[in-house]
Amino acid sequence: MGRRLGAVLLLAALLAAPAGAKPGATRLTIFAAASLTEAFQSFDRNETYSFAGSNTLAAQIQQGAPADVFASASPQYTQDLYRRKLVEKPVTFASNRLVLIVPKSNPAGLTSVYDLARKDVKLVVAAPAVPVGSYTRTVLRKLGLSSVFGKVVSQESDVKGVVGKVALGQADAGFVYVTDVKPVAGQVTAIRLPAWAQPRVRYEIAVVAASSHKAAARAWIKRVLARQGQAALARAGFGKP
Amino acid sequence: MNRARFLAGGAAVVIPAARAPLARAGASEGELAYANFAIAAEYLMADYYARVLKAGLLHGSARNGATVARRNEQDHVAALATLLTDAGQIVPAAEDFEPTWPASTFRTLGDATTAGTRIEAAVVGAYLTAATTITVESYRSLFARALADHAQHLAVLSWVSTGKPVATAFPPALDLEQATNRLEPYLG
Repeated sequence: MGRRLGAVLLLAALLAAPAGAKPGATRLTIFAAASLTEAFQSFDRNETYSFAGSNTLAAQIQQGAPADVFASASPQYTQDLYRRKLVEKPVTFASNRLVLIVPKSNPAGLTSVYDLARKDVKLVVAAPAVPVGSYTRTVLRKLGLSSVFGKVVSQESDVKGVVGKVALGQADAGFVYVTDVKPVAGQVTAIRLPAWAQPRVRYEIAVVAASSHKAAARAWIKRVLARQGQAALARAGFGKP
Repeated sequence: MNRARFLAGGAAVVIPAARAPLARAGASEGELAYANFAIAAEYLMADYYARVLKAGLLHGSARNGATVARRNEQDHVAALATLLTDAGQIVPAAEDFEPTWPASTFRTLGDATTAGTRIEAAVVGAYLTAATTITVESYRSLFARALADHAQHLAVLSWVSTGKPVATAFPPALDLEQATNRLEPYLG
């Protein structure tokens, strides 16, 4: 009986431990921009992730949420937390680009971002406080197309919300990062945006000052910046820092 | 494009006041879009002439022409940067663009002039539209003057590639979308 119970407990422990996790290793809590979901999960499955809009995560850290690492899709949030001494000095670890996505069936017949101004479309964007929402506004302003905001039917709280609405055909088009396309390549088509209108999208990462695993968190960031981490990010479509 | 390489031509990104049409606030978003397009196009052409010169494809007065053309692009960048700054916009840097030149672009003189002519013609087309449709005088003036420079660059490329410096009359005007489509393969 005792041996059986021991076996059950061992099995339960094995099932609870993430694949590849070293016994006794610190399991970090990583707060990361939603756009990093696939890249970080493929890089390291052994940590506890919380993916959301960078603005939401920054607000949670300000309110004392227990995180070890914060990876933001915009320097705005990491730098703000750094000024408040809530994170250690942030470093840039990746870059990204925006694209316009349409459902595979492309009901509005869009082939160019300029079509947004010419055609009757249902557009979905991220809210202005979310980095991708802010970048979307920059792109449209640079293109001289801010008027298309009149066609926005929904403002999402993170980039995955935009992806989901377009992939499900609930909108004709949406602005997302190029790295968001790969996981839904069967459901959406990406339309390139002019290089001259692209915003400077830089991702920053920092150790959370209140973390009780600072050494492990610093080591994790070091791995993200090293060859293995950069390769995982490149596979997901991210650019160099 | 490397910023150091861009600046290596000797022209700092500062233009004498007398040559810089002072752009003041008042341009519409659509008019500013031309400036955003233009600064990318100028960075691209500056990179083009730097590479043509480095490849050693031009000699004598043709080389001198390319050297001056490159300096012109740097002056245009400076003037456009002033315009965008005055309008409260973030001015892109050279390193924000990574030109994607096809592998064969600078292999022969013919390949190089074909690419250069294609881009210069797109720039001339876009600037023609800008110079004739933008309502703010200082912006119109900037585009008209830069257009004159690019027409000269086009003449140099035409002369080098065909021996004929003067092309057919009335080059086509292009809207931003058309000009963008012609530049995108090179802008990365």
